[in-house]
Amino acid sequence: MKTVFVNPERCVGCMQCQVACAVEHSQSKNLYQAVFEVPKPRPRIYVAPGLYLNTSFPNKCRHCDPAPCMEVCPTGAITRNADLDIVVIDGNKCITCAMCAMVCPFDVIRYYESATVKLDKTVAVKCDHCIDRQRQGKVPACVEVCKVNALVFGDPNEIAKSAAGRLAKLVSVATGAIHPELPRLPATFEAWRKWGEESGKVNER
Amino acid sequence: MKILIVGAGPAGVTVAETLRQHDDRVEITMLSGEPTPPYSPPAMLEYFTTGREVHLWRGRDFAERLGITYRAGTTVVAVEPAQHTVRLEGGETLGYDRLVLATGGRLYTPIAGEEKPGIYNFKSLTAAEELLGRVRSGAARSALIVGAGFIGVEIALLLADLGLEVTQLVRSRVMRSMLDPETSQIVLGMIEARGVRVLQDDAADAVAFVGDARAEAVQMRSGDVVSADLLVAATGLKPNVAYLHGSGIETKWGVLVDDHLRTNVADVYAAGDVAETFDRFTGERYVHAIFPNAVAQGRIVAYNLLGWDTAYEGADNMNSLKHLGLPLMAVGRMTGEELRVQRGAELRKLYLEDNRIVGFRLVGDVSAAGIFRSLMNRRADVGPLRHRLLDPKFGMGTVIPYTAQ
Repeated sequence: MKTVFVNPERCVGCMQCQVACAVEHSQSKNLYQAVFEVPKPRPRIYVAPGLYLNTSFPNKCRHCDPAPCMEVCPTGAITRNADLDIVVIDGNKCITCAMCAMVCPFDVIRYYESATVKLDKTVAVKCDHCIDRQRQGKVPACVEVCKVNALVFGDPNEIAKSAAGRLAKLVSVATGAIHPELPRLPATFEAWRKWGEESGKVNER
Repeated sequence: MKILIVGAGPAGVTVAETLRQHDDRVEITMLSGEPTPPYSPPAMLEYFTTGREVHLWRGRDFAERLGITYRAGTTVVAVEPAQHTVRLEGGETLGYDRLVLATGGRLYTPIAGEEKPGIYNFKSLTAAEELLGRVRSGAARSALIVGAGFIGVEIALLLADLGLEVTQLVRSRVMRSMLDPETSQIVLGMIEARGVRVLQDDAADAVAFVGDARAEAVQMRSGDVVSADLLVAATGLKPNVAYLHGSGIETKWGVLVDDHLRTNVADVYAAGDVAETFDRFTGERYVHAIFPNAVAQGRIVAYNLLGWDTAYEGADNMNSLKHLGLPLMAVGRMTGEELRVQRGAELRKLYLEDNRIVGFRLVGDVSAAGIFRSLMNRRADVGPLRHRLLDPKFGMGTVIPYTAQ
């Protein structure tokens, strides 16, 4: 199942994901019109400054499984979309009890008026992994707009694999540059190979 | 296997749902004392103010969807563990292989005359319907609320919004057990601003409900008598354990359970407001009757019934107030060192012991609440972060580089 992978080391804190998110969850889905909408569209991803200078962290819903917010919702307003593995809030069922925010260890649930909820009151709102875009085969808006690949959309196993590959390549290039003699095979390798060939012959006979 | 669940509150419903999620053959029977489909107590207020049926949180088709036998309006009068049966009001007996006690709690009123008719409460949908019925019919124009805990305050606000003249008795201070004096004072100011008349201290020390046939007024220790069209008691909760008398199932305040939520009797489990469990943080035994605890306990019982040895982590001591106009959250203890910040209408208080968060109170802005709770439950040493904990920008950006080290 695909998810948005966050790489905080790459984030430069430009906040374009916040803008893209707010626009995607506006009524017009257009930046220039969204600015004038009531209620004002707001982002569901939050770029926060990091602990050290020049670091930042784009914080969003992890769509946990099991999801603590879903487990404590007293009206069943929070459910999981099984097809896309997305935890979604139905604001029309929300009673703003704030239990979900109390148990969310990632602090990604906010309360405000949302255009999709016709109740005229604040309700719990969080990232829906751009479920509408995903149904159209598009990647989430925050990922599309991210210029530094701090947000990547894909299968977590595939992403981890490609990261491991990148690391291996970097390490081998780096060690090669420091010790040019290393890539040559050490004498012990030659000996082992010879022994392998000889024992192979024994087995083949 | 035949599983009998007594009670259709959040705990009972969660047991049934979790069982069905993992086993489509187990035979489940659920008994409810109420005439309705399962409902969610925290959502009752919303239902009464807006008419939205959000309180029927699992839908009207709950029983059919899950394929369980649901018997509404059924009361258990006795449990006979030796025969593996329960006796119902009316004399019928039902057999079980495993029994789950999820009978919740009822109003607890340690005030003389509490048995008189005419005292309303908000402990069940039926009780709340009666209360609201009096308001809607116009029979009640004024209300007197005894008790100023979370539920007492919510009822006061609800009735004030419905146009009643509301008086609330606050014996010591608002939500004493969950809030510190300063936060308590803020809440008091807010409910008064919403038009609730608050009587405090000696003027609010209720000792008896008075009236001939029906309770009509409340008498204070000072001798003062305060009357209203509608008397509402919100004085606390007592687990429903009377029917267990003589069954051999051990009870104290609630049903005593071990860390697998088993009672002392074989094949009998308990979950929700009826179960006396332990605090996840202090280990202290108590009944902390909130929705998240009931659901978490229901899940643990179901896992153990399915044969998966699962221990309960312990109950959470937390609550939040919805209808105040400002969000308010109270989690954990109020002991140790206090870190405090006030920014306009926003107030944040963190309680630290040995550089570990043991509780917090947030008013106005509840952001980062989940992070505080997570750090608290993990007993994380927040020493290096302490000067940032109350920073308005404190959040995952602060915590992640710190925990990654």
